Amino acid sequence: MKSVHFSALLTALALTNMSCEKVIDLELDTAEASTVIEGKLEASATEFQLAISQTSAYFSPALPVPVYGAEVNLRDNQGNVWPMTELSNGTYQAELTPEIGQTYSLEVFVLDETYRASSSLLPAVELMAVDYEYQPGNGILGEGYVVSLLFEDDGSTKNYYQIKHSINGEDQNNADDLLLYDDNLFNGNEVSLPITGKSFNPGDTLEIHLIHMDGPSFEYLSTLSDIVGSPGGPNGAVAAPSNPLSNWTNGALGFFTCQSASTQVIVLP
Amino acid sequence: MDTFAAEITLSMRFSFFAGLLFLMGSSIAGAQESFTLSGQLRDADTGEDLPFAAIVAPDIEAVGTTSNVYGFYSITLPKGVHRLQFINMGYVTVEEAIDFSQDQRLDVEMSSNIEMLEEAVVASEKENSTVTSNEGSLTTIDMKDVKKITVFGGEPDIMKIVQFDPGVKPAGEGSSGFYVRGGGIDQNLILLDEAVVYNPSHLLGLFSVFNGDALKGANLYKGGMPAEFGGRASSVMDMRMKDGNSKHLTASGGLGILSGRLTLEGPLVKDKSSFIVSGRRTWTDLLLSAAGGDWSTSSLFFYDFNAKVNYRFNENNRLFASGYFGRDKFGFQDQFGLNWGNATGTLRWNHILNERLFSNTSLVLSNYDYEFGLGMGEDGIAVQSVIRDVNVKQDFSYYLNNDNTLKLGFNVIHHTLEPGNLDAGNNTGLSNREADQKYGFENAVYVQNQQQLTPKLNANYGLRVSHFSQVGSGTKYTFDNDGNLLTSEDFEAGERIADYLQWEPRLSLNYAVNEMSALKLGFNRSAQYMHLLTNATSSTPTDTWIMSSNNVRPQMTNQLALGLFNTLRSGTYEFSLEGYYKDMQNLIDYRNGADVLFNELIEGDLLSGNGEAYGIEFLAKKKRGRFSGQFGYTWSRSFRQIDGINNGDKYSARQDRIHDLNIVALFQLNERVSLSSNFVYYTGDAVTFPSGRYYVDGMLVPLYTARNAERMPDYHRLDFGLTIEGKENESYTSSWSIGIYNVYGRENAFSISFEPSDNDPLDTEAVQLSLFKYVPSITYNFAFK
Repeated sequence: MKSVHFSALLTALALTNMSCEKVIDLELDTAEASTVIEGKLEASATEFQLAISQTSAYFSPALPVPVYGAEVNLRDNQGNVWPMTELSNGTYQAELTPEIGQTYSLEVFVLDETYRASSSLLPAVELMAVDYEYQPGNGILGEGYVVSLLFEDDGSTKNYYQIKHSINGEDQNNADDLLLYDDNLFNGNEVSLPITGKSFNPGDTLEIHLIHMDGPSFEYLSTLSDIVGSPGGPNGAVAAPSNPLSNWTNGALGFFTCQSASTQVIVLP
Repeated sequence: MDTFAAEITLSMRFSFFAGLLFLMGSSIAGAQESFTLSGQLRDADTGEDLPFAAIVAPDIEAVGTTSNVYGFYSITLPKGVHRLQFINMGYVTVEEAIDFSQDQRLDVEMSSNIEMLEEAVVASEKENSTVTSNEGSLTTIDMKDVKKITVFGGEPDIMKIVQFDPGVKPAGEGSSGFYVRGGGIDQNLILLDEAVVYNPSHLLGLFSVFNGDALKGANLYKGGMPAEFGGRASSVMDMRMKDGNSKHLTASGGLGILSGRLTLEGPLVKDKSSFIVSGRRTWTDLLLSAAGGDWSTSSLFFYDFNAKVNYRFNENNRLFASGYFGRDKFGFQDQFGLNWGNATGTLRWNHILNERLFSNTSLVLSNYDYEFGLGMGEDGIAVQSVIRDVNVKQDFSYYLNNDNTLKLGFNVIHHTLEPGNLDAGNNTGLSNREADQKYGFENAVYVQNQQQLTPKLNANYGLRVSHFSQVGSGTKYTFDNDGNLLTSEDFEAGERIADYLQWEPRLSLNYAVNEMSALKLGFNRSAQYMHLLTNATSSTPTDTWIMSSNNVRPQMTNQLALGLFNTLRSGTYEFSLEGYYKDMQNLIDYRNGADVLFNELIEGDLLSGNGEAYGIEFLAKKKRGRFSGQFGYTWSRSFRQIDGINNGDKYSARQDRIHDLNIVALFQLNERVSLSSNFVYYTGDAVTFPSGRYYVDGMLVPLYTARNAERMPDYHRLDFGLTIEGKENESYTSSWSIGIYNVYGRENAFSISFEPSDNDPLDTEAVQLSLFKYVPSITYNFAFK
């Protein structure tokens, strides 16, 4: 929603043809390195991986540096423990069959600090259908198919969703592809949610996932979506950016999430 | 804080009554009979009331008065014949010898005839007006003076003019909102003929909603506001519309590249009743449809319409009805649209009860709404938000004697807020929602006195007592410290949900050190019950207003200002140096991760804290001669401290602009041609930039540590303007205004965003977006005499 207003502003400015963009040299302070812990437990997977890394200076063009030597334990509500083994590339792994309805928690001991997080694995919400409609295109969206997901929301609880998709085998993972919804506006309804801001070409094979997650995971991802991508600066979409609301204790960045998904594959004519 | 306020008010009340007793005592002791002369001051050519003109008895030391905002004056002198001078800047002084042997009425017309001004002009200047007018921290703008200063768009825009004043900082390019002395953007009370205007800005802040042709002028109070004003914590911008020429019909207007305007005014009954009607519109949408293609079914325009009519029943009664209606519309085909607008209406009755008592009764309506839509019909959604105010106010001015002018009154405002209604088409799968409407009463009663304590010391002191109650029908929510809902309780219509009572003492002192210098002190304590929640700097119309409630306390400000004012060469040069300290409480901001849209429980996502601002303002003006202008410099700081933001540590407010420089220069080349230029420089806004980076889910994520610890690049630009008056004509004047905004094309940063580099996808670069360079404006202005 916020980005609509910002793009409306930009469109008006582009129209007046007087604005300009340029790359500038900006000197930024670098904060002390913080620990980043990220893990996604998927209902359909047989193993679970956790990545631990550190923050680096903003203008340093490098991939994240993994942190080795952490002690990680995964637990469920029933007292089961899976100590996680460190792989050669610095990620930590456990083999398990995730059980719907469990709350999983992690305890990570790394660089003399302990971090804890937990998340609930909720049942998948069935993706009833994937609809598509050909649009001739307008100034903002090029011509092509607009795709929507049809499903029914459970009116008795508050639900949180994410829509992910891949085109011809390629996962779409830009900041703009982070599509998140809570059921505030459609609680209990049968709803058709579009993949916004995108049109697809005839012949594309799309793999569409409707992901169901818990509240804290959604909070993290939606506060994350406020700060990734282009908007920035005092007149951008978010004036006072801050770090996403993580479910880790003790100030770790990143998050731990349990997710279940319902998937469909379609080929556009 | 409450005991402090109570103490102040007790001492205020004590000194007020002590003052009254002293006066009464001295007038009894004097035992001389006095009589009162009162009446209306009007412009001889147009019939417009002349506010704040000086009426002086030159033979008696330190005796004088000023006409009120409606042009009414009252002066009481001892029995006998006395000389009186009626003085108003830009007008020929009128001298009368009056025999004060009974109470009399004298209406005076003053002429601004330019020929006569050339010679006697110096005498017509209110003698050292800066040093004699009481209020410090007050800037008066007369629309006649601003016509020559070029601003963006080539129109005399009062909101832009006000930003030349030190202590008033523009919110930024693309916004006509402003900050006064470190206060928030919602802390300015913007009044048009007593009606509150919630959003004074048109599209992207390029133009304000105020059409200069319909305005008489404005008073901007940055501090020491008299008790008659309240409702916003940092400033009062009191704008008045013209009443309309009551002598003959005239028209004026202008045509420019981006917009056009037309004003029609004249008598309905000569000297008794007049009207003024004024309209303005941009034609950017006509340009769009000419451009064709995708843009041809889009819209981008705004319009303003002002109308006022007045009728003088007899010399003691006058009725006014005025209104403003304006709208902005921005839409792209059927895909999305934004439209918003203000509408205000004022019905006012001026009644002169006797030669010393003037009454003003007003009924004011104010409506601000915005609507934003995506898609059309069954596939579309529209969100609408509305604020509606109904205000009843009563003011009395009592001219007790020539040393005391009392004002007292009250007002009652009923607020209705519809924070967000959603209208969703059937195909969207979304349900219609009507956010709960919220209702509140904002009431105040005030008493103030302007008193000449000694020949050199003038004081304006008063007390405003304000009260706010949120009333039903509505729901009262309580939250825990983390913003989770604890309880919710429903209330019936009219039942009280929350209420607040605030005491707001005001004081302003003026000590005339000598004929040319004055020391001024101002103190005000102000309460604010309506708050603007904003997540971005410029006042986008989608910002939300909320009212005080059990969760949201009123914003309070205490401000102290002290200044030295000087004039040279009988008013040709003016200097002032003023320092202020302001502390603010109950400032609100969003919690991290707050859900901004359609959030019934938004109050749980708000945090409150304190603010502090201080600074020194320097202003030098040359007011007459071929070359005139002003130089203003402010050094100031503005901080916030809110638990839950920045780990509870103090941080710079966005508007913590340490240096702010503004230079305006006007040069009268010859009779017909004048040149103007202005230069603006200010420190960049305090902003939060990343201090590190990491990856989540394959996406690059910036790391943020301290809030507002970094700076945007400094802002500076130079504008030029040229005004060429048309040939002299009996019935008609015309001029061409040509201007260039941002002459040397400085690319001032509107926003800085961080994007992946083209060369290396792992690398990020800072990309700056700047708005306006070398923007020309050409306007043809005309006026029938």
